[in-house]
Amino acid sequence: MSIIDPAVYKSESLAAQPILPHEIGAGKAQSTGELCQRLAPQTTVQAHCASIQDVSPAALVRMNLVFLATDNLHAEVAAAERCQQLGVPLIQASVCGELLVAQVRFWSHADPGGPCVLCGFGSEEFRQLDQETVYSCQGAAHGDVDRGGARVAATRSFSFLCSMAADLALVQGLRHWVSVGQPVANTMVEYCGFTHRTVTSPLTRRAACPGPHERWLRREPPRCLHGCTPRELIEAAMGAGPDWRGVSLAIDRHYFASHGVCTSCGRPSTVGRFSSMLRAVGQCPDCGGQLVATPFHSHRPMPADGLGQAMDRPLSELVQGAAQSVVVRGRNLSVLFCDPCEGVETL
Amino acid sequence: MSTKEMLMPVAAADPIESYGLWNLDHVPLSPARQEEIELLRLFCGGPAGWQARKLAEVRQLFALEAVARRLRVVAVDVREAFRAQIYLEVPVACRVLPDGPLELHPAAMLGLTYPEEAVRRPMPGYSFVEILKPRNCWSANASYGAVQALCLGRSLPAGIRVKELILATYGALSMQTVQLDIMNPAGVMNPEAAVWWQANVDRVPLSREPFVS
Repeated sequence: MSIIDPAVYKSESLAAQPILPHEIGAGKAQSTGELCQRLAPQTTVQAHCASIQDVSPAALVRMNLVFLATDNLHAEVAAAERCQQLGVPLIQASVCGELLVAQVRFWSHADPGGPCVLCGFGSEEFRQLDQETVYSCQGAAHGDVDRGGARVAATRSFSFLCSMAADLALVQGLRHWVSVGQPVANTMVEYCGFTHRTVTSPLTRRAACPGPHERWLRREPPRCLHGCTPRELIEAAMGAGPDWRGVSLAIDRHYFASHGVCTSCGRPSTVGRFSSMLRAVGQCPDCGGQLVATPFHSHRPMPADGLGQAMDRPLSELVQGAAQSVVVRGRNLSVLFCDPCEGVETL
Repeated sequence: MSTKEMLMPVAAADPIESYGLWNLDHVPLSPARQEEIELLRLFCGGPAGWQARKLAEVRQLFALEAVARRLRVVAVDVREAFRAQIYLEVPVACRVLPDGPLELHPAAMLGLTYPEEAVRRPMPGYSFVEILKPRNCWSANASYGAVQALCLGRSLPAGIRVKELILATYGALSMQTVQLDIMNPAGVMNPEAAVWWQANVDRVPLSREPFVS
């Protein structure tokens, strides 16, 4: 089981969540993971105190099912996109407090041509996505406000409605796992507290969906990722070259910095490395100062035909830190390599 | 010009002066630029929708270049993110030292990067444009240092067009649109420059010329 949440418990969390005072300041994912581990010692539990966008695809690739209950549309879209790329089913629980509605959507992601989260977005959702709206429980006290430029909308919900949505999500998960009743794949279940009625409707693909509807195939790398060269991985994914037009390489969330600028003398230099940050990508060959990568010369993903000499160097020499996953993307095919030598870091 | 006339496509035989920002899609491109688009098509990467979007942006960028004489597209890369190196005739304020004299350069070399994710989600305003030359830009909206990122606003909407980024860049560099309030989180990348320009507001804007003139 993997739990992903970048947030930490605050003092006001004591009123709404089952935590003790000593947990204030602790990561929610870590704290919840430890609780799960105590309840089920045989279960392998991982906690990622980071946003879904910053978690390596390797963390999700072994999952059979993902539950999503996020408070912002960006995380929702990122999680759904990642699950679709990996072909992992996704169950999302959400509420609409004003209407006393608990809603559970289930995307099977069995077929990349099937529905995705963006297929169901209307103009209002896209507007809120543009405004980077966060649906915060704290917003309920202050109304809708701007915080740091992002719009914070009040959730305006009740704890019983949230727990109802969570319970419905578990029902859908159970029905999917044990295959009982009508199939729940690509359906939306809505319960309305005003009418006590439950409605199930299909989720369908929208022809004009702006989502990528992309699927990654999973293949084993020839050896541990740190010993592989980009050429070996591209050949393992796409077959032997020489024509790799339209082929690119992405390593975790790293940029490939082809050039940098010295912060001391201001001269440009060649870098040719993958780095998670644009700062401190190397040393200036002229004055020894620190090189920073220029955004215009930093690539994510990196086109294969721009790698040059880096094509035949092992990732251990090219990547700052350990590479957990590599995605090789061609025009009609994307392949994910996860590091077979990377141990699972558990609680 | 009436609304009806504005919506009418201009015939290909019309002189280039007949075209403007409202009908860029109908601007006839030179044979060299058309060939370049066909060449870029061979190297265009990513999902089909993203490929089509990038090639549409290239065409519109070349059309903008034809209409606006102040713009020259130096290089375009559509292998992954949409990247364009652009020479733009626009006055750029520079100071070699933060307390040195102000210099005005007549043009800027810009690096424009449009990542695939920008089609689907809003991006911070500093995500797209980097000033490659001249160095030492002295603008409230450009970072001062080795990397000169130009901020075009707090957040830019998902799917924003490249031509809009270029028009916003022209406005920001010529200081026809400028944000000098250091307490406002929208767009101040160099607070010292913002304070300096507040004290020298009589020098703003650097040019009153419209983008297409």
